Amino acid sequence: MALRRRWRYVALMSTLALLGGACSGGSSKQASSNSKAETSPAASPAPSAGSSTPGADNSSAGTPSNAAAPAADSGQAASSSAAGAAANSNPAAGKAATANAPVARSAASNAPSGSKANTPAAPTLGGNGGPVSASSPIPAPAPGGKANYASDKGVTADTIRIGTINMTSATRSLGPAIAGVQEQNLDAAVKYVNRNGGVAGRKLQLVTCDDGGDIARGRACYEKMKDNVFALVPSITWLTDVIHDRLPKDKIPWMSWGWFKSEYEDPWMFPCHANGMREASAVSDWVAKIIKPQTVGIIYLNVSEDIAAKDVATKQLEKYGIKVVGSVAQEWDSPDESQHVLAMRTANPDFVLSFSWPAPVAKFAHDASTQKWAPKLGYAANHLTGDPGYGPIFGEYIKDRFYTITSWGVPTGPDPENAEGGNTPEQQQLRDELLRTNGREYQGFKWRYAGMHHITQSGWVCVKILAKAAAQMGPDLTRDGFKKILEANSWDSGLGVVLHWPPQSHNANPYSFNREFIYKWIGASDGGWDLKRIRPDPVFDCSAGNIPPEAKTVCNS
Amino acid sequence: MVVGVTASVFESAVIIGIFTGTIYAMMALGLVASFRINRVVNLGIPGLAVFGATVYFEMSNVWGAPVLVSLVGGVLVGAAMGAILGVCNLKMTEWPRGFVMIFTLTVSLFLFGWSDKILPPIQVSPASPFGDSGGFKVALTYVSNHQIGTFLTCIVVTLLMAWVVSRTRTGIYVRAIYDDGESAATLGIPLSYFVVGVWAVAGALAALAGILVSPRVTLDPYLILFVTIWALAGAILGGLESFGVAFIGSLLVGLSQGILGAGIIHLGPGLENLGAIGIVAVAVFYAGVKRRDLAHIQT
Repeated sequence: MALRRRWRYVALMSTLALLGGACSGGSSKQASSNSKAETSPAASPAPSAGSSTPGADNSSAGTPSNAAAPAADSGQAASSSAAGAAANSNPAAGKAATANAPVARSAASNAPSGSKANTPAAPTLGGNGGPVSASSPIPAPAPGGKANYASDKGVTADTIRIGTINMTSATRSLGPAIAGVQEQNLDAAVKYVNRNGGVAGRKLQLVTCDDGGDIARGRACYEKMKDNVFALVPSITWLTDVIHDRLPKDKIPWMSWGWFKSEYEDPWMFPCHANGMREASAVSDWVAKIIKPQTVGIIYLNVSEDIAAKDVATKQLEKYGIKVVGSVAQEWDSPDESQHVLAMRTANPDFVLSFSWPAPVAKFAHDASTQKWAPKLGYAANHLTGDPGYGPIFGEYIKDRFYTITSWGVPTGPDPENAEGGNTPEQQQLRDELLRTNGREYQGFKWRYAGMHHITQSGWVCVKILAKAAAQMGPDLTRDGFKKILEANSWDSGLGVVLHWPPQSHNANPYSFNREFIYKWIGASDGGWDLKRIRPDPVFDCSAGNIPPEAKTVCNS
Repeated sequence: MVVGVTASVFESAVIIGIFTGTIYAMMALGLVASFRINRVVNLGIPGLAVFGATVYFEMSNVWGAPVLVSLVGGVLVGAAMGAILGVCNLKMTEWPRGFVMIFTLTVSLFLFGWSDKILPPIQVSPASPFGDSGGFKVALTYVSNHQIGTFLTCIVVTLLMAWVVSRTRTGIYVRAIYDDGESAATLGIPLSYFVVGVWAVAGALAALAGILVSPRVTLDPYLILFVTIWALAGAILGGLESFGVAFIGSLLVGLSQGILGAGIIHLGPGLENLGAIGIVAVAVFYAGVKRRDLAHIQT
């Protein structure tokens, strides 16, 4: 009897323990910090927030009000300012070359005079012209200047805490494969910044929280972080679509992953990668002009963003008289895609566009390969298929058959066409730092851990931009001031894109990812997989004026 | 709306549906086995499936063991874990069934986490025990050796389990415990032995399902969890009591998905799965209404 009672107790406790582990809110920890690791239970979820429903209308690039918007010139901007700023040698703003470097301004604002540095430049884009280069060094505080202090939430005299919420414990295709990698990229960026002098006398400290892909846990993570971190940085979480009612109240800037259209409409969010619907428009336009199919099929994931992307693409293709003859909705948990291959095969399109996720698209590719069927002109898949590490997952089938569109350039083998955007010094630095932080094993087979996925690339880029912007404010670092600094300047990523968040709307022109990149999967010399840059580049809005001069675009050719 | 469907498209969709259904049927067998002894819906099945497949993957792909040895290894580990779960279950005899069911779910989550720690952080597909290549073309589709092997295995296991339950002394004991455990014990049937034994068999079946399903689905705990949910929908057709009806129910789910997904009937996004579950719901309702008439089939 006693034995039975003990067993009951053990079973009850183990069940509760397992339940607790499974059902608790997001857990958080600090990374990139010398201080003790902090793990605390998640707070109770916040009240529910309204969800934004993305519209499918992608025909307008937003308010085309920035006639004087700076033309981005990443290649030229990367090198020239003695103050560490990227001088803009773009002809459009050439005359302002000596006065337009925001970082030079910040260095001045940290001068011994002790003048407050948190007054950002006037929030009108284009007045200063030159983008701040991500690859330039962060200015050190001027000697004898005002001492750093706890100027805002998440900021102390020597530390700036930044937060990230990721679905690291979600399903393998989302959690370890992408969200976990996001944390590693952020960690690499933070370590790089700290090793190179920090942010005007302060070190960055990364605080992470795992929401497992659960919005309720994500809200709990947010509640824990909102008063403890200065800003949030790119995070792979569904939360970024439903938290818009909270950010203005809490006044916390979030440099977000940019997956949801609604992120572009939130004044406190600074999306760090392409708007999916604009990307769908750009790739459809590119396909119509370059591939020239008569008919197209569309594969899309059955979620709001990808349904909207499908609708945008259909509309764009119709402009060229290209008919969408078949479309299939995938579920991310689909055990088999044979029936969808059959549906597509029956529709028999010349070309297939994909707005979906890696796992179901990989299944589709495998099942199409098994059925020995392919559209005669190939596929163009969104960035989620384009990570350099995904080749083996998709199999031989994708070689010479799949194009992919990405927000940032991707490093490839030697390729003169990829010198701009892809094989840049900043890409090399990102690659070196990822290996330095995570060890050589990280590289695996051609970046198997998605370190060069464009969402994870956005983590690297935006932490560096955060460091630059925070450095400009010096001791008086505040969330409000930081927001204004981000909006007042343009930021050269060094990966082929200059980022802008216009103050009136982050969705307005110049839209950061107006020009994107197309790569094609090819066979590598060692028999593996490689990507090849295909030009010209796709463009969302050719009249936006922020296409790098050296870019070969459909419009310019 | 039915659009111009050729016979070959329909035939292909049916074939695809049958093999998708086979995936669910493999998973349903473990669910039925454990329910058949003490009326517990064993939500530990997906965990055991994933863990068994993980052991198989590690043995075959990492250690380089022969596929057959790896298969046996994975199934034995599944059986051992199923037995442990059976022992725990035995100690919870007086607990509410719902609580025990939740306990088995936590075991799945625990095994998912454990497998995640073992597996590399990318999606992996273990090698098929029937070979990764080979097959033949049928209509517009292609049937691989793996699919044929899985289908035949599923039929053999279903027939074997149905035979054991209906024709052997072991089956009589199992049915007796299922009907009234305490009376069965009074009659001298070793309750513990049979409960642990049947749960071990359920664990072995789950591991076998995981090994045969993961080359197709990929070895992703949550994807296999969703396969189990569809399997549960199929198994419900027989009230979770019959291996044969669970097999048929699972095929029905797969066929519905195959035909609806192949575009023979155009549905909007999301309605494809909803349509499939609707068909199963109607079938379950019918089976429930006609339970007395169908009892001989279900057992």
